[in-house]
Amino acid sequence: MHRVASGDESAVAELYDRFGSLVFRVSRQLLPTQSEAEDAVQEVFIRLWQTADRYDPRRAKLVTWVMLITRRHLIDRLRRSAVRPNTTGMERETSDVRPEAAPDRESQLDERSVKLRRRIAELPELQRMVIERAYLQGYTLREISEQLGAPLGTVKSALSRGLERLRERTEADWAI
Amino acid sequence: MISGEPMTREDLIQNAALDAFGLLDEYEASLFSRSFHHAAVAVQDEILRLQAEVSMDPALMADEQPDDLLRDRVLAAVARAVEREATRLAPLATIGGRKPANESQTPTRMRLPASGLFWRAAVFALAASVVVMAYLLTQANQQGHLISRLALDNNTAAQLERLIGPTFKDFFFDQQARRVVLQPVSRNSTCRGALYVKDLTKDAILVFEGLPRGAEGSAYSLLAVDEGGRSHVLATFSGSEDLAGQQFTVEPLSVAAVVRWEIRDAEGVVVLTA
Repeated sequence: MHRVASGDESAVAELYDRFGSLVFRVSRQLLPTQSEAEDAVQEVFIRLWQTADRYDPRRAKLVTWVMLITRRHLIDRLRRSAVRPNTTGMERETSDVRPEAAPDRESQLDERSVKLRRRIAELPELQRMVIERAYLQGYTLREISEQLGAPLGTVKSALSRGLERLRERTEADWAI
Repeated sequence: MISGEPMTREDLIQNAALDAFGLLDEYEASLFSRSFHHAAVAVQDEILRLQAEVSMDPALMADEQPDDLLRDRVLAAVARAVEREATRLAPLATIGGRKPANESQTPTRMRLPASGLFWRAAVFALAASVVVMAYLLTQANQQGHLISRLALDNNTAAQLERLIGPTFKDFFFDQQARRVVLQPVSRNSTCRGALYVKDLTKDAILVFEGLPRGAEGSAYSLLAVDEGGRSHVLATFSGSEDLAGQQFTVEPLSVAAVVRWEIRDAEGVVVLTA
């Protein structure tokens, strides 16, 4: 990352080769179109260059750092463009798992994105609402606590359990 | 000073994913970091591994792969950003010395690495207080104004040391210090500012010029806007047309949680931002 900070082109290329796919896939998960996701990837790598001298390997593995920068940038981007879906719309969308119910939006997402959103829809209500707001829309836990009128600790536990269940469900799917 | 007992191993594990996703609020994020640093090496390794696993968990991202052409576009975009930064800062390296007659380009790599270590090292090598201040405050279209003023004022650095203390150099040459250049909101404004923030200690300095003194008792405010859109006043200070500085702390915020910095005048109007 020292070389990335100095603008070394080969270092930036190496960084992209290691993490470009991950950055794109997370961008694609949160942004509605491929072109927006591609623009976001470019912005993220510029951000990674700008912040490279702040990376501390004692505090986080590089993949964790890269994905944190990515997620923060995507949330900022969503907020700036004000395309963050309102919660009512998102709840309707994810609670109705019939693909024909929202063909335009789902046609813009790949199969895994659709599956992820359907899995989110199957979570217990509080976990689903917290996951949607935190993971897909970028609200902070405190904002979610205020929106739902639930204690912060409850919201945090719901988010943790919800993420665990999403990961467990995927592993179970693969095991079949 | 952040209160609260350090998190236990179980607490760290429970919050690891939330920390990795940046979903903890500033207090808990700071507590998590502090607890992490206090934890045993084996626990730290466990947390690092957990966070890496959840960060790249395919269950939480789309399956679509990027187009092959995206790689070239990304590298070109970063190269342009590096070039822009280099162009903005490049004249600083020539202050105090003549440009070699046969200076050659280096077309095979991104020219003049712009960020972090290189520019700090270059300025240090020149060892001129005038260059230090130009580096902090200048913008490409305003360099002449600032540098000409500084050239007339050999006591600028001494003045800043008197205002802020000798620690301002500690911030400037600290490779870990975060640099934030504040931009004037109004195109016609001649005010400028820069922040140097140390993430670990949350100590910071603000250096500015061109902020008119207001009526008796009026003051400017430095604010940090967090991810939730909340504004936090970190410092208040009197205006100054000349270079001036102010030390402050970012406590109790987490520096990483700040998405925007603002300087507002006494009426609450934003005059500088980043």
